Amino acid sequence: MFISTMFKAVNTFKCRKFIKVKFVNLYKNACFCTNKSEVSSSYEPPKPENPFKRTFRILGNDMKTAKNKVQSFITKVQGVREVTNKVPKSPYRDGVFPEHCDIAIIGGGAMGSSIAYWLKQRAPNAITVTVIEKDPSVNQNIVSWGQYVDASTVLSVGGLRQQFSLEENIRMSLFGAEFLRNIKQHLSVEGHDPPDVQFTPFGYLCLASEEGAQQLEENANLQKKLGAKNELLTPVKLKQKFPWINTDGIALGCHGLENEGWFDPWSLLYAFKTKALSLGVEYVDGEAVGFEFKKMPDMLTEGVEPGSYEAVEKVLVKTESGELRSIKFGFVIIAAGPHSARVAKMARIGTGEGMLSIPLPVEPRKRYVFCINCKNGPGLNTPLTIDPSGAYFRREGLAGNYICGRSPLPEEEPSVDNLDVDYDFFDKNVWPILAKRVPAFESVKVKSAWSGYYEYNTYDENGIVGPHPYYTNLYIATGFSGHVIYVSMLQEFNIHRLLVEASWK
Amino acid sequence: MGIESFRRVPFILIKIIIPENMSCEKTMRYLIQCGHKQFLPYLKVLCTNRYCTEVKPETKSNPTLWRKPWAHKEGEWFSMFRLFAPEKGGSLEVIRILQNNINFSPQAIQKWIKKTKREASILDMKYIPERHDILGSNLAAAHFLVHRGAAIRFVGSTEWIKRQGDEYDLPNKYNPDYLVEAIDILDMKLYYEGFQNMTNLSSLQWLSLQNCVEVDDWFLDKISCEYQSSLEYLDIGNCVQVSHRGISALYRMSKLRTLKVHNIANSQMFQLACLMLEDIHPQLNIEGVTYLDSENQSV
Repeated sequence: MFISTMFKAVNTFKCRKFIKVKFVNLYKNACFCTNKSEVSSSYEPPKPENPFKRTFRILGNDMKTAKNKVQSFITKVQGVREVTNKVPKSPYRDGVFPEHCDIAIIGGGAMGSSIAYWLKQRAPNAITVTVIEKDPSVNQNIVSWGQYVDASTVLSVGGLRQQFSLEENIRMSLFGAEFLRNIKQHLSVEGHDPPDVQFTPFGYLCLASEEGAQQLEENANLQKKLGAKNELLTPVKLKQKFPWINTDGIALGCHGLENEGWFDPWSLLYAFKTKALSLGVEYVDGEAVGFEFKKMPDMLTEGVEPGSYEAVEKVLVKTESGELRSIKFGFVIIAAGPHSARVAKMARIGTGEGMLSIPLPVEPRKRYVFCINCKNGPGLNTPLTIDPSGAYFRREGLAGNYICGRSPLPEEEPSVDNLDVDYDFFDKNVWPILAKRVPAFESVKVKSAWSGYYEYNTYDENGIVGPHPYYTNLYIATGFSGHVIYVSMLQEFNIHRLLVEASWK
Repeated sequence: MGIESFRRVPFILIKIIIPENMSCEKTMRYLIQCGHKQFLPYLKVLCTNRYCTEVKPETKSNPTLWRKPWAHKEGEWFSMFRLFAPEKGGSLEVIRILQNNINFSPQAIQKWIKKTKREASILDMKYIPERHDILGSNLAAAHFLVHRGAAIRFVGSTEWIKRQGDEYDLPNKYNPDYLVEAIDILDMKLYYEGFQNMTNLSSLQWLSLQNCVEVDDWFLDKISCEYQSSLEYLDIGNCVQVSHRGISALYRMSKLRTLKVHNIANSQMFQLACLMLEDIHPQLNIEGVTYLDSENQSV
């Protein structure tokens, strides 16, 4: 009997040691490696927190918040109004950094926020969504300019049009128009004012010279077929309707009649974000700097050598305070706009082998927007006019201000290092064309200008939406180069595919 | 069991149309799905529903799958049970409904009632293509409006056709002589979705949307598109959701003579927009706006 107890004692000791070793190895078994050199400096993944310490820390926090609640209740009952906040309010939803989530969205602009909104709309309690956004975002209820300084959404001109040549684009913008119209039903949050995007219904007037007239007519017919309303105008009619125009060199014009116009993109983004927050989405202020991978040797996928598959498991986030944390996700969606290619490189898209050797063909391109003032300019009947050369302008407000710009030619692409504005560009490239098209613009004054990044898809200038062929849990939604405003509303198709095909199989 | 007992079994006729060019497995699956649809209509909620705006099945394009699922590859074997496996997985709607905590507080119920009423009225106003096919655009619009409480006047007549109780006097078949000239909304609550029923009214000259609170900038956008070449009188008094942006959208209407904007928020921008609109269309006369002195206006 003595021997058996001795045996038991030895056994339990071994068991304990075994359990301890295994336990410690449990959170170290993920074989991780971060991407070094090319894009960002190599980051060491953060050491996982000791689970006992974590438990006690969270319990301690819970005690403190409970104590605070009781204290505030007592002071309320006593009628004493005190504004003491002993525990600093954590920016995170549960008071701790979200280390796990079902779906991580990298990029919190119009795309990312709308993806988060649609995901939570479909399955409010089934999934946890975390959005990682590197621009300092608004965590209070106060609307303030100056946030999202670098983000492309708020710097865009905010136009809605149906005049595209691709069927999918036309459908997307029709859906977007309907969504905007019903935005009060979709994105209202209790306790806040209903969102108001200040939609100004105005058409788009696409002008075409001889070469482009045929294409313009075909596009117009396609749009009519899908339900968009527009009219084709000859130069004579153009002059009748818009007396300020100079129709030299114009063979045809297409005037959009319905569901076109412009709106305030900032309020749309804000509406998406507040609604997403109210539905339970967690926003993390930080920059995604790498991914952690997990070897899955028993995964068999077509096009991949058996035994060599590595899945993305965690994303490394550098928070505002400089800390490096990691978030483990079930799915990740890259919606980082112009920086998507950089994020994709962190996931080895472009630097790997086989399917991973093709990089994401999205580049940031800088575009300028100028605000000019002209005393005798075209009056109320100024749609957003697009010249065949690519220059455009539209009315802003009612006081003679106009917003104009132009896509630079490939050889004139400005560098994307910073967001400085080149006023020479206006003098050389934009103003001569505008002055020719609208004689009243001979005398204009540039009031202000800004620049923003386009997420330019170098492959075919259209969007990229869908799962990546190699990774089963990585989705991409980017590359819409300027159309992102209303495409963001269409993310529900992306989400439908994501949820129905992938997670529910 | 002999031949007699077989004859006694009731014979259920199943009408299924099998499209051509379907593989064997797909045919079987199609048969099973048809069976589902025929016999279990009340369990519609369990079928995979597309939660999105209306997309007609003919125009919905199937995304091309460049990668076949494993079971469809050559050499892969699957059992007959696969036929009963759902292709796409469970419906999200079901999960969402099951997971939602139903809020029984009075405010929530009131909100729900309001929301359902609104959805019901919007559904009521949906565009029905058959109505336009049978009656033509003018009569279809007339039926649509008069049935819901508005008043119509046709070209060449001076009397207004209204609903008396449940009856009204309009022809039931297509008649090209009836052209709608004037519409007065009266008590009807017109939603944007109902506007599609009023397309193609080429002789519409007079339109009054007074007291219709749903009218906002999108409405004016649609009006300026639909009736840009014929409308001469537009009354949007008391439509408080209209802003100066909607007013400026009316620049397309070349024939507009009278515009009534009583009681809409009279901000400076609004007055400026009205002024500018009058500038472009010299024959236009806007009533209901009180302009400030010219010194106070900011240009």
